[in-house]
Amino acid sequence: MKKLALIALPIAALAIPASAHHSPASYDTTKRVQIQGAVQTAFFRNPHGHIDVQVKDARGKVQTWKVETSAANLLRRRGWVFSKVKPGVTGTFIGHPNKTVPNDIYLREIVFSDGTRFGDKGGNDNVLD
Amino acid sequence: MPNAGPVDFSGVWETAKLELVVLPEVAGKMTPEAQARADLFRKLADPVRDDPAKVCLIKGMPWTMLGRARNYPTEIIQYPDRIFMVFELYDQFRQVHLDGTPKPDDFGPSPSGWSTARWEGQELVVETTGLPVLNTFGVMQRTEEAKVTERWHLGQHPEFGQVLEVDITVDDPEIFAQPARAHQVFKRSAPGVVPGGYNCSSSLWDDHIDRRKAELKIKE
Repeated sequence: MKKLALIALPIAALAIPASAHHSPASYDTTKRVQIQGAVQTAFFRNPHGHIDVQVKDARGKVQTWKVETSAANLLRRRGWVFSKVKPGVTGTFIGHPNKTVPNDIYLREIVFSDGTRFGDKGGNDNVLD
Repeated sequence: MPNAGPVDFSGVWETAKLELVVLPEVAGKMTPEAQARADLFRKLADPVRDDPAKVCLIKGMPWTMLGRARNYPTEIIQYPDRIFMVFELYDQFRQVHLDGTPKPDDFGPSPSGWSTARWEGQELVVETTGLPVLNTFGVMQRTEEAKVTERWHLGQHPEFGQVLEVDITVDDPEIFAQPARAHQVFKRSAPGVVPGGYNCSSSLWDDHIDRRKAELKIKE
């Protein structure tokens, strides 16, 4: 099994978003973090889905991160293949951190260990949907 | 299917850009009572827990037409006597009666209400009543007296090409001190895009089952 490492670094400062379908209030859309880990469970549904990701912290302790996703319908149109996101699959999960809850992000992009990338079509990063 | 009107709005559309959407609760002037309710909600509500999307709330008209989320198709199917609208978002559905069929006396309030329309040149004027009360404690409020008037017309946008612009006026005297304005711009969806199912309530059921399993100490 590949070594899993926790990386939580701000990537870019983005414009303050207007609210969309779902209130972005709980996530800081001005920041991005990325975590590397293995999918534990994944549910894709509307209005939002979620993935549990097992991540090893700097001390080697495994933590479960909560990863909220956009609506399943939208992700399908952006080319996401849900069967790819199955338990045990490893990758890098990039998203906005929850403002108050640790280990919780709103997902924008997955880069799997085999190089496959599921992203946000159109790059409209200032909208959470 | 030929349509009898001067303009054919048929096709699959979606919100062009959320920044172009004008909401009545933002653009309109509320009555002091309605404003007080909205202010109290903003003050007391938890923006995360009290998000209506989390409980799959269908707010109905005029907000049905004012979706700001991107990439959700809405199909318009236009017949000589009626327009049908199928919204992927929240599996919503509207009928617009072009033949002037009046609202039946026993019509129960519903989120889409009862819509009739008339042509004014190239513009379709749609009037909707028969709407239920929404949010006695909240920002988006409506009484059963609400009347929503839409003016639909096709236009050209430099970024999106052909667009369907909808100018909306909300008459609801207990909520708005004067008729409130709203606005939406739809662009054509990409070829091949059709409205799918949204099935929001199944997530509520899943969450309910998870809670019940925890209460009953059921482990899988």
